[in-house]
Amino acid sequence: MSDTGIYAGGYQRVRDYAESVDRLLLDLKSGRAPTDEILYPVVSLLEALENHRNAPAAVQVIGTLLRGRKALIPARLKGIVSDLKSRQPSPATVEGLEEFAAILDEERATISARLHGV
Amino acid sequence: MILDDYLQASIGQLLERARNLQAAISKPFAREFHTLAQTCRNLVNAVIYGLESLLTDPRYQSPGAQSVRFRDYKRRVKDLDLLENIAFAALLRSNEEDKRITRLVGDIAEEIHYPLVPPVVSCQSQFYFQAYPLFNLLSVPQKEVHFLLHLPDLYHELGHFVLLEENNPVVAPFQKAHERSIAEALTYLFNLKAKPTRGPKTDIAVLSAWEICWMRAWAAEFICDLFGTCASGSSYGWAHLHLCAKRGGDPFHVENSPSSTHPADEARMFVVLEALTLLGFANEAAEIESKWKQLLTVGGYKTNADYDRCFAKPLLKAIAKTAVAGYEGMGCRTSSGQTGLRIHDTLNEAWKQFWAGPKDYPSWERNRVREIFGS
Repeated sequence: MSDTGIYAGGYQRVRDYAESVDRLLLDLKSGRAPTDEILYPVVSLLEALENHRNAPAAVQVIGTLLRGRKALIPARLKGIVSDLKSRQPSPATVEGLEEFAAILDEERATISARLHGV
Repeated sequence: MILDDYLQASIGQLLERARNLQAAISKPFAREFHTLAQTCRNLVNAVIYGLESLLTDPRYQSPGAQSVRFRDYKRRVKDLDLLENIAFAALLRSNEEDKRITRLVGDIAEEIHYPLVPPVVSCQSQFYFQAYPLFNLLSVPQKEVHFLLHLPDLYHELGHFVLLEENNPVVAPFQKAHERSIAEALTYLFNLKAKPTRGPKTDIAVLSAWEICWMRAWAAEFICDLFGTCASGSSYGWAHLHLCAKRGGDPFHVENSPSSTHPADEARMFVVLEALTLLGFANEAAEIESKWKQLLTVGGYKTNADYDRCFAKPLLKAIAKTAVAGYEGMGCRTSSGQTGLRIHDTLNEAWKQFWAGPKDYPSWERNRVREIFGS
C-alpha cells in the first residue's frame, strides 16, 4: 500500500546501473583500461538486457525503454558486449554507452521525481 | 569551463551540508535506532567521498568526460537529498512513538519468521505507509501508533524489503514469484497485442504503458499485497477495504500512464481474496467480498473495458497462486486461524470487534493499543 516509498528501492537499482555505466565511461574516455570490477557489471547488465524476460524488473523496464526509442537495438547491444569483452572498445561502442548512460539517467530522474510526488 | 567553476562552488556547499548532517547525528540514540544511525553515517560518508572525487579525480578532466561528471554530480545531489529528507529526518525526530512502533515491527518479524533484519519505523510519513529499503526504514503517519486497523499494511511494507534484498537465497522463492508474475503479465499483454480484435491502433500505446507499469510497480504491489495476506490473514483484506473506503477513488480505474504507481484497487482486492481462499480462509474471504461489493454499490463503481482487459481474472489468479507458493518457499509463518501470536491475533481480532460492535470499537481499540504497544 506504500505510495512513493517503493520507488526508493527501484530508484536505487537504476541509480546503481547508471553509476556503473558512468564509471566505465570515465575510464574509457580518460584512456584508462578498465579493471574487471568496472567492466563486468556493465557487461552483465547489457547481457541481461539482451535476455531481459528473465531479468530483474528494473532491467526489464530499461529494456522496454530502449526498444520504445529504437535505441541500442539487440544487434547493437550484442556488438557493444563483444567489443567490451575484447577490451578494445571502438569509438562507436563508447558512443553507444554514452547513449545508454543518458537513458539510464533519464529513468533515474523520472523515478526520482516520483519520490517527491511530482 | 563553466562546469569547473560551477562544481567548485556547489560541491563546496554540498560537502559542508553533508558534514553538518554527520555532526547532527553524532550523539546518543536509543538502541532501536542504532542501525539507522550507522546506515546514515556510512551513506553520508559515501556521498562525501563521491563529491570530493568530482573535484579531484583527474579522469573527469578528460575530453568528453564532462557529461559523465555532470551526471555523477546530479546523482550525488540526489543521494544527499534522500539521506537528508528521509533517513536523517527520521533519525533526528526519533521519539517514544517511533520506538514503540519499531519494537512492534520487530515483534511482527519474529512472529512471521521474517528472514531479514526488521526495519526501523518512523512516524513521519505524510503519505500513508512507505518503505525505504536503502535505509532499511519504514515510514508511517504520525498517529498510526494509536490505532490498529491499518497496521496489517505493515506486513505489505515488509514484503518490499524482501523484494529488494540482494544475493540471498532464502528470499529467492518470493523474488522468483515476483519475476514470474511480471512474465505472466507480459505474456498476457503480448497475446493481447497480437489479437486481431484488440481494438483501435492507439491501444498499442496503452498496452505498452501497461507493460511498463507491470514491470515498474504493479507486480511488486500485488506481490507485497500477497505477502501481507499470507502473513496477516483476513485482517489484510479488511485493511485494504478500509483504505479504499477512506482514501480510494474508483477501484476499477486503470491508469494508462507508465508512471502509475499502483494497480486498480479492485484487482488488488481480487488477489487478496484469492490468496485467502488458497490459505483456507474461504469464509472470511466471502465475508470481505460481500462487504466490498456493498461498498462498490454504494459508491456507484462498476467495471469497465480497460479494467477487464488489463486485469483478467485468470492472470490475477495465477499471480495469487505463485505468490503464496513463493511466500511459503521462504519458510515464513503463514497466517492460520489459531496462531497464538500476539500481534497477528490482535489485528485479526480488531476487525472482528469492529464489525461485531462498531459503536464500542473505539474504546476496545484504545485498551488493546495500550496492551500491544505497552503504553
